[in-house]
Amino acid sequence: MSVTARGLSLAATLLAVFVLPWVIPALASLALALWVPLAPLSTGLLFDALYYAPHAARIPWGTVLGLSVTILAYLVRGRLAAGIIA
Amino acid sequence: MKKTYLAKRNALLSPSGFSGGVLALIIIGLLVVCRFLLPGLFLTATMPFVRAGDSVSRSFGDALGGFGNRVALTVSNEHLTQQNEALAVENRTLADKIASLTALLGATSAPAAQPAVVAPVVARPPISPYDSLVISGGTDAGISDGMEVFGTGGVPIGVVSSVTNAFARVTLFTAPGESLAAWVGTAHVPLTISGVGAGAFTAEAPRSAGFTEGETVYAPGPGALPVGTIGSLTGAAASPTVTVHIVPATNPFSIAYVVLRDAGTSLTSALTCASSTAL
Repeated sequence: MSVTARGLSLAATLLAVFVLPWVIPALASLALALWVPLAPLSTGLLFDALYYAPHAARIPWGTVLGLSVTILAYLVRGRLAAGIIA
Repeated sequence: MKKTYLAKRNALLSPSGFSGGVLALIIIGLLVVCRFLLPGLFLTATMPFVRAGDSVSRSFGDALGGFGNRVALTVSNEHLTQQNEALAVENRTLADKIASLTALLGATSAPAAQPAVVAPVVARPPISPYDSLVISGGTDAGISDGMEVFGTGGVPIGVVSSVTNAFARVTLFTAPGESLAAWVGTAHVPLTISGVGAGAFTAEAPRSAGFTEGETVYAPGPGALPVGTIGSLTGAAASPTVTVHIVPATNPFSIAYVVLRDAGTSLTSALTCASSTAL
């Protein structure tokens, strides 16, 4: 995916947080994670910054799940990108 | 033989994924910091985007509605019109009855109704992943932390959990972890209902309580405040308990305006907070 496409996809995903039901930007950030690993964490943080309210949930799930998926994405990318030819 | 060595690519520092994601993370990180340090400024800056999103989603919904089955919509409209007329008649009957009883028994010494604040809802589920609302109204409008929030028809739906000068966040009673002491039906059978998210309540009740589908569930407050009706009862036939699934009286996905007032201690004292932080 080109840099421009990544940027536009990330911007669309973050914009969708304001407009679309939360499931759609969540899935979009999950799909984008292979190319932009920080997308899930950014999306989750934005969700919690906008909508998290005290007592609505004990844990800011957006941030927690976004961080988990981001870490997983980095691990996967590291495995995919590694290559040593002896 | 010459050996070719290729260094392992560092996934964190690969240039292709570094700049966009990190830049977005930095910007959103700053927004998060702003939310905690300057909550009023944060909401004032972001709510225009949320309002625009709300308008877009409503327009989208209206556009999709145009593709609906016209016959089904017409039938539904007629049914709702008849239902509305029947409820209006019932309402007038009850008002007349109250007037007659008041004349017979004398006026009550009930205190005057508490002043109320009406506020539009800016963000709601399912755009919000939590069972919470963001309303356009804050301390400037007389809204304070802990005020009770009511939907259409005086249905209690939540409590103000945070407030800035121009906006407030409302935690709905259907949020996971929220519990509410309630009672069911005309027999006022006590029941503790728990929010399970997505605008729904459940409760565990003894089978011997004899609950039936369609019974109204009330919360304490000035009079009986209906919060929902029993939608279904599930559980193994041999089990002494049943799981009561309660349909809320107000659909949180379509709330446009809410009324906020201090309903007294009876409603807030019925809230059994799951967290250690008191409302």
